[in-house]
Amino acid sequence: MRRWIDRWNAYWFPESTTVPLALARIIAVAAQLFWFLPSLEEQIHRLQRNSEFIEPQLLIRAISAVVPGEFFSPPVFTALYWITVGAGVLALIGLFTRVSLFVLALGIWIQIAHLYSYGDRHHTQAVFCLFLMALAFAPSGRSLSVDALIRRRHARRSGKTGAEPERIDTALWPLKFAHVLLAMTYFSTGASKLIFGGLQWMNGYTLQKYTFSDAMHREIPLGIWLAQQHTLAVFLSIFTILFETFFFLSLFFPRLAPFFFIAGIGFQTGLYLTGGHDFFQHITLLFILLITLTPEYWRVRVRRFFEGFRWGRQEQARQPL
Amino acid sequence: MEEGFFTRHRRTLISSGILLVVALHAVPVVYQPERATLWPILHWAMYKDSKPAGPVTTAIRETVAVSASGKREVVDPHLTGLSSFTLAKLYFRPMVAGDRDASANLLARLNEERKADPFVEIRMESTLYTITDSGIVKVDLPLISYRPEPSDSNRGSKP
Repeated sequence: MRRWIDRWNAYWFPESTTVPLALARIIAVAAQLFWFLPSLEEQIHRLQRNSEFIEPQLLIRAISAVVPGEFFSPPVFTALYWITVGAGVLALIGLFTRVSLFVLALGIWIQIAHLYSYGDRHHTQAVFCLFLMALAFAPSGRSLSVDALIRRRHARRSGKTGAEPERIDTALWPLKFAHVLLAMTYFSTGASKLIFGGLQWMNGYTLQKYTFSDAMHREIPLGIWLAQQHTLAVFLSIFTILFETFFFLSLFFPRLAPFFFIAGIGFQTGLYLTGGHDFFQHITLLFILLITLTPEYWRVRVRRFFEGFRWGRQEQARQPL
Repeated sequence: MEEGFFTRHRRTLISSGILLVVALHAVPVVYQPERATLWPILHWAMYKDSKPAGPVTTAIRETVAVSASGKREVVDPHLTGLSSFTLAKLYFRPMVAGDRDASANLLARLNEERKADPFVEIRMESTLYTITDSGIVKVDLPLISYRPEPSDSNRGSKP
């Protein structure tokens, strides 16, 4: 038992600086604020056009049970929207970071759960929103934040100077949590294709028909072209099944992780360009994981690049004039 | 000593949270009634069904509501306050399958807060597109139209 706990702790709680987590916070919050923010206009339109929910989400039912009366009204949702934006700005600059992150994540959760209480739901935001909430329970403001500046100033005043970057054991778990969630969701999607669709899912016609339908409805020329390429559709179907089903290997073989993250960004971008599936939150998460969970991958590549650059300069210098 | 205790405590809390979120993902898989209402915990089966070999086709539909004065308005998220997915699930797909109740319900929904010039007819115009060796072939499908009859007086309720 002790061995399992040690393994668990070694996976989730390795010592690290707080910089990768802070970087993840800045990218995730900026993306949420400037790219993924639910539309206030849409919230108000749903509230005005519907006197009741069609399929209220659990979170909305919980709020309805606790908060009496007029919570689900345009004025309250307008206030909620601006409170969420305010919290997002504070979380971005890292002031009262944990509280701001919690308010931002909760505000976003309520707004999305509200939109999905009218019989509609999509998968795009779920993992990203869980990650955003996880950031609120981690030391996300220890670096690259106003909180960190204030803390350093206080330390200087009291005579303590911390030249060494702080290393703690709770700075990586939100990133690993996002990685595990992505692996779970991709595996679930891939396995369901194999269980319900069988190997026939890779016959090419399946992808052609799905792509043709989505691309025609959304008027996407690249998708309409792809739907007419049977052989390419067979290869892309095989790639889809392999990528989704085996993404989880990146959890157990960290050296493979960068390749899975890059393949994932390509996969999601391809789905958007051909079928209009806007999983931008997944793309952002994969990008965050690529730059924060695999620093060694980048260190080696950057070193090779500069060595190659230096070698080229030296060779040039040796050339006779 | 004190720091060690809090570190252990923090790890336990975080670990419990992680395990809880991971375990919750089993709920929508095994408990069908809450499959659609546990956001952000979701059932991740997407595009799971395979399609047999054969013609690649898709139908594009446009649904319009016609008012008493003859004015036509497209039935879309803006007019109804519902997303296109919900509209398709609740109304359009049942209408294609011949469900007159769905048409009646849609008309009732559209007229709910509309006092002047109420809608009196729903028309669904469909076009079938098929991929062929020579390109994409377009065929207009029969119009689906719904106009309430006296026998329909009991029809029409908002879901």
